[in-house]
Order: sequence, then C-alpha cells, then structure tokens
Amino acid sequence: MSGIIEMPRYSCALAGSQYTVHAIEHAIPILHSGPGCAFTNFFGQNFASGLQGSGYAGGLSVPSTNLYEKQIVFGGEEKLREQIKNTIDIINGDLYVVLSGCSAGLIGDDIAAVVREFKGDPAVIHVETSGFKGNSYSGYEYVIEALVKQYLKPGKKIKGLVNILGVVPYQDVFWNGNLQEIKRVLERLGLRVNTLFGDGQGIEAWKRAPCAELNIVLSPWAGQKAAKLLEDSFNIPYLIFPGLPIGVAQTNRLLEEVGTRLKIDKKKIDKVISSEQKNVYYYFNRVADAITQFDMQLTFAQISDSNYAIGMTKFLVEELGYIPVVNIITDNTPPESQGFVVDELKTIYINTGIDPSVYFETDSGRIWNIIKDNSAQLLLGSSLDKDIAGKMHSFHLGVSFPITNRVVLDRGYAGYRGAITLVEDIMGSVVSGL
Amino acid sequence: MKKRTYRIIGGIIIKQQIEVRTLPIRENRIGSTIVYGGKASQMINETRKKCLKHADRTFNQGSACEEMLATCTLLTVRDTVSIFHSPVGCSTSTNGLNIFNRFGQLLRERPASNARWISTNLTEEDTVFGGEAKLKTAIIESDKRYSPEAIFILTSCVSGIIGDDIEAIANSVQPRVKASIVPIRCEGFRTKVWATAYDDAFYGVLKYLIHEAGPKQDDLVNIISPITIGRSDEIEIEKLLTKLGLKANIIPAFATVDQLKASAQAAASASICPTYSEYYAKTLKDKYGIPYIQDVMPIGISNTDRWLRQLGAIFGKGEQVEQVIAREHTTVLPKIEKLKNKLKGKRVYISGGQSRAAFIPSLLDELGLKLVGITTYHHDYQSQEGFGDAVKRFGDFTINVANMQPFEQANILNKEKVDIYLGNENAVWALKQGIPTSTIFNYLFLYIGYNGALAFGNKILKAISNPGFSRNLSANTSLPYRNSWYDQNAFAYIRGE
Repeated sequence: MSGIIEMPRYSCALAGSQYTVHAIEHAIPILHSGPGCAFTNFFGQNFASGLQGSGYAGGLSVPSTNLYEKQIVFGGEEKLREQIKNTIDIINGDLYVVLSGCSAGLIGDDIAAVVREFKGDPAVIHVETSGFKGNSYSGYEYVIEALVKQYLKPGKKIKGLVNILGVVPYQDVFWNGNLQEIKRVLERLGLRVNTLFGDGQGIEAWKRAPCAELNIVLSPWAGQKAAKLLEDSFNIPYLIFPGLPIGVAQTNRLLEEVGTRLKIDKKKIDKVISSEQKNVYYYFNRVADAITQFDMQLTFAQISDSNYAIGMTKFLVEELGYIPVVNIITDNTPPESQGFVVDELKTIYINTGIDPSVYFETDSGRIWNIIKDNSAQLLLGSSLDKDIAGKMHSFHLGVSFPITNRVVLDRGYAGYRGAITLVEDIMGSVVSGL
Repeated sequence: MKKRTYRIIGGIIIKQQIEVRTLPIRENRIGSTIVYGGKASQMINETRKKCLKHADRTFNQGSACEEMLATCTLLTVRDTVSIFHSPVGCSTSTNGLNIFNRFGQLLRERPASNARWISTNLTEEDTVFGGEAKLKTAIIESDKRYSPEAIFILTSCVSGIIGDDIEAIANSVQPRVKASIVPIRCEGFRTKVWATAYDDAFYGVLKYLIHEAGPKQDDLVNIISPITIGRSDEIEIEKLLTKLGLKANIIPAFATVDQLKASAQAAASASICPTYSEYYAKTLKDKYGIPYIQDVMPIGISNTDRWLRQLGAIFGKGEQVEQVIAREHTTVLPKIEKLKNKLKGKRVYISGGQSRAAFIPSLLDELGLKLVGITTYHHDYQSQEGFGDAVKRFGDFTINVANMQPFEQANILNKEKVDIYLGNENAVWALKQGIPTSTIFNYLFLYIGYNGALAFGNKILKAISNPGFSRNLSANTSLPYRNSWYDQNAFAYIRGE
C-alpha cells in the first residue's frame, strides 16, 4: 500500500531507525537530515508511544546536521564530517549511528565515504534510511542490517544464549514490558536472553548476539529479514513465533517450541509451565466475579499491527471467551506475509469455530468505515480510535500505536503476566467510567 | 561530477521556484538569527548596529522545521483537513499536536475530537516520478470524506526538492471541490527560523481564504493567538476586552474558518505573541487598514498595562483603560507583594520562544526574582527592547540564541547557580541537572494578564517549595555529555560563517 494515508499508524524509516538506535543503551544516532526530523520523530514516534520520553540522548538532544538550503544546493558531506567529529567530542556514547534522512538521500551525499573516515574506537556506522524508503518497521530492519554488516563480529557460541527479534521499540508501545516478560519466562528455562533493546541492553548485548544459539522472532514478518541475515552471517538458526505470545496457551507454546529447538529437558519446561499457569489462574479466579457480575464476555473489534492482531485476538478468544467482530491490521504487512497472518488467525476458527473477519488497512478513514459496519462492545486500537469508539458506544483501550492517552513505562501484555495486565486494563476501561 | 552539477542547478531552480510563490524567509526579511552566545548587552548592541555576525554551529542537535510550525499554526482550525505532501513521517508531529488539540477542545467546553490530516505518503518511486497525482487524490479524498471548509497543503523537504508544483495542482483541483484549497510553502530546509512558518501559513490564509473584507465590525479585536495560548489565557484577555466594551476574535488556534475571514473586518489586531503575529498583523493593516498593537506581550503587570494602553489609544478609550488598570492593580498588586516576599532573590533561567523570552523578564522583576540567563529560540528587532529592559532591571546576563540545542544550555546551567528553570521544550534536561522547573506556557494554566502574573508566581513558588523530583532524578540519571564538555565555553561550537 503506497497510496495516501489518512492519520498513519506508523512513522517513516528514519523515525523507526532513530528510535531503534535509542533503544540500545548508549548508542547515539546522528541524524543527517532536515532540521525538523528530530522534533517530528520525538512527537511522532517517541512521545506518541505512551508518552515515553527522550531518555539518554533522544528527543531534542539527538545530534543532527539539520540540512538547510545551503546543503541542499551544495551538498552536506562537509557538514556531516564536522558533525560526526564533534558529536564524538561532546556526546558520551558507545556506538554512533549515522542515519541519513530524505534530504540527504535526495541530494546524493556519499555518506558511506564520510563515515569510513571515522575508523576505530568508538565505532561509527551508518544506515541509509531516508524516510521515503519505508516505515518504522523498515527502519528497525535497516538498523539491524547495518549492525550486522558493519559492526558485529563472529564469536564462539554461548550455550543457552538466545536473541529476541520482531518487537519494534516504540512502534510496539509496550516494547519494554513485553521484552522484560519474554526474558523472564525464557530465563526460567535456564536460558540467557539478549532482548537487544531496552534496560541494560547496550553494545555488550549486541556484541554477544552473534554467539547466540537461536534467534526468536516474535512476529509473523517483522524482524525476519534480520533473522535471515544473522543466520547467513553468523550461522544462527531462527524460530518464528507468529505474533506476540499473550496468555497461557501461547506462552506455553513458545516455551515448548524453544525447548524443543534447544533440547531442554521436557520435565523442566512442564514444571515452569505449570507454575506460571497456576499463577495466572490464581488471579483469573479473582476476576471471575467481576466478569459474571457485569457480564463481561465482550464482543470486540481490534485495530493493531499483525503481532497484536494474532497474539491478542488468540488470547481473548481462546482463553477469555471473548467474541471477535473484526480484526484490522495496520502495519502495512508485506503482501507475501499476509497469507501467513491470515492462516494464523484461521487457527482460531479451527480451535473455536469462531471466525474473526480480517482486513489489511493503513488508512484511518477507511479503518473507521470498517468499524462503522462492525459494531462491538470493546474497541482495542490506538488513541486515534477513541472518537469512533465513542460514536459506536464501545469501550476503548489503547493497545496499538499511537497512544497518547495513556502513560506506558514498563507495562506489557506479552507472556503470562502480560495477560493478567491486559485483563486488568480491559476491565478497567469498562469500570473506570463509573 | 554530473550528479553534483545536476544537484546544484536543481537546487537553484527549486529555490527560485519556491521564492516567487511565497514570502522571503525571516532571516532575509527581518534579519532573524538562531545563533548567538554571550552577554545580552553586546548582542543588543550588535543587533542595533546591524553587525550581528551570521554565525553557525559546528555541532548541532535536532530541532523543529517550518513544516511542523506551519502545522502548529493551522491544525486546530475547525472543520479543516491538513494534507502533508511528504513521506509518511513528516505528518506524525500531529500525534503530539493532537494532544494539544484534544486538550484545547475540552478546555473550550467542546468534546475532544481528533484533528484531521492526510499524508500523501511519498515513496522512493514518487521521488523519481513526482507526487502530484497523489496530492490530487489526497485533496479529493479530504473533500469527499469530510467536506471541510478548507484544505491546507503543507510541503516538505521531499516535495520541495522533487519540485512538485502544488499551486498548479491546487488551482486545477479547486473547481472540483467545495473546500477552499490553501497551498502553503513550508519546506523544512528553507529557513533556519521556524517562525517563518507563521508568515507562510498566514500568507496562505490571506491569499486563499480571505477574498474580500466584508463589513467592518467596530468593536472586534483580532487576538492573534498560537496553540500555546491556553483557554484560561483567552478568558483573561476576553475579560479585559469586555471591560472596554470590545469583543475578541481569537484566531487561528481553535477558530473557525469564518473567524479567520472575519479578521479582515476587525477594528484592530492585538498580538499576544508578537513573534507569531508579526507578518499577519502588519499585512492586515496594509491590505485592510486595520491598526495593530504588536510590540508587547501582555505577560506581567507592566507589559499588560502597556498592552491595554496601546489598545485604548487605538479606540480612543484612554480613560476607561486607566480605570481598568487601576482596579486590576488594586486587586492584584497586594497579592503580588505577598508572593514577592517568598520569591525574593531566587535565581531564574528562562528558555523559550522569542516573545516569552523577551517579555517574561519584567514579570520576574515584579515578582522579586533574579534573572541569570536566557535561551531564546531566535532573535531579531522584536526582542531588542525586551532584552534591553531586562539588562536595565537585572544588569547584564548570559544570552543564548539557539534553535533548542540543549548541550549549550546544559553547559550554562552547570556553571550558573539557578533556583528555578522556566521553560518547556528543554526543561527536561534542566530537571535532570537537579533544577526545579516550571512551564512558561501550558493549556492548563494561566500566564497572561494580571491574574496570569499572579498564577505564574504561584506556580514558581510551588516548584521551588518541593524540588524532590529534580533532586532524585539528577542523582539517578545523567545527561549524555562528556565531562570535558562542561570545562569548555558554552559557545565553543559557534563560529562565524
């Protein structure tokens, strides 16, 4: 879908790249782009993600060449050279990543040549990520590709080390919490987990990445290019788990699949699964009264990326007994992956006899037209969807990008604990109006 | 080599094409600059003698662009659609601005609803073949989906460089749509001074929306107001105008297209942010003979006095104004006196846009506070008087003209003893340095007029009374700068061009 988009639900390749780099501790992006990209990306990707803020060197502190007319006419290479040198002098970072935006891409600066002049320590790499070259998801892939090709070196395999891919920082608003929960459950199997992004994940985690035994891709498509590249470059096999695992059944399945691939003792897995499952139902046992009292077996419409479309819908239908009305997927899913996404959602029908209708749509105006024909009690979507939820008299919960009416810090919906949080939030959206 | 030659010729063509279709940028029109570091007195002198050097930074941090500020100007106009003729990312500043928009509506006692925008989503292919067909589609879709009163077209770096002819598209599609199409040239690379965006947005409004003035309204005053002016500020202004028998036409933020059109019928224009209204107020005078007050922001006691007296002079209501001022003083000044005792001598740093930076200092003096330094986002003749007045009140101080650039601010704050930081966009960095902060605009609070002065003082007092968060945050986080940076001069990366 390369047509016009009303109120897009992702940003451009540059924004995706920038905030992917910010999600690596002490990695410093250097924007080689127009002056406004920094503020726009701050509002458009960073703050729009549950009001998450600039952190270490994000927001308006990000180094940027700010290309004005002079550079558009005469080129920006000299400006970039000076900017890289001075960034290293002023900003304390472990890795510097030059990200070229639209204007740099169009005027044809030879960025690779300039970056090559900065050899050695600290490392400087570059990513061609002009905004028009893709969206936030592409930006994520471009950064990993650059890290693999320009920065990572092969190393000895580390037993039990796994990398997590497919959760795109800030584009998945709950990325921090989701990654933390995935790490927690996998660590219970005795694994060592590189989430690669988030708290404590800096260049040391990335340097270890080539030593992993397995890459786990938590998405039906995002992160797969990265996984293939890591396989080709460092011989790391990968496992594709279709979507974000939410709830008992899917997280159990994740642990079982990872366990099989890494030959983990079945008994050990079963023990973890049973204790986690017991814990989830300890809480679900306590929410059952509210569910019966208010008759909260809800019908729901969902507007989200394919990760949540699969993971959240499966959980809500198969474990909570909710009734899906419509599932609109907004991440510009590549045509070659759409069949896979649909097949995964069909398993819900196979398991339950209930068939959620699926649309792939990026344009908010058209998304709302679909919603108008598919009334549901609950609307799971972005904060942009609050108005249509109001018109349809649906309860609304922000689960997908952008979210500006909730504050999201370490909250996550993945895994066992995430399912408990999700139930709290959905039921909270119903009773908070009282 | 061929590519480079092509680029230079292409660039010059683009420049010419854009320049014949809109206004000169503020650097050229009124000599605005975004780069200075030093003492205020010296900057004022250099500006006066017109020998302020055209400087540049050899290290830069990110900033805002013309397209984003044009968006800020027009996005909240009711019943309109903004089309971003750009790759998908440029339109996303709206995700943040939509927060302002929704809050603004709630505070105006309307249900919150989304602003409306469409991205033409320019892709790599469009950069080769042009994006004009998509722009056409976007205009027609906007009209079909929402039948808006007006459709704003905002250009971007990409649409500018590839040379799409947006005015021609607008003209060719206009007969097919009901909405007035308003093309706005706001390519991000065009100007270093994002305030140019206000001029270009208002240029579009004047050229494409207001076709004839219509009957004069003798009591109508244009209050030219950006989205950073909160509803409580507007109420304060409306109250003052009512006391003078005048009516406010608050535009363009949250206004209707009809209100924009009515701006040509007003009896006067009054700015509450001179930087913002600089071009619009003057052009309304040139085109429609509407007098304006433009050289003071009504923030603080003496500035508000001055603002009211200028308004009174236009309407021949000098005596009435003096009565209003006397009454307001009687109510507010005793309360200010009490506040002054608590705030006396506290050291303040301000960071903000030109108007706030230039007009808040006198209020600080009225509150008994001590100014130690200012970051202003740009500088030109409009802030000369305000800074001059501040030097008289406080003695010389550090001035930093910067389109954000928080590294310079961090360096300054590391050297100065500051009790309270006043600002918005760069406040978070001061907080991380352990300095309590308070905003200089916010849709939830009052800043303008007499009651604004009081509210502002109380807010500062609140921030100083418990610096717990700034203290704890600074102990547990660090700014990204090397220690060696703090040993250098804060303006070490500024050089003459």
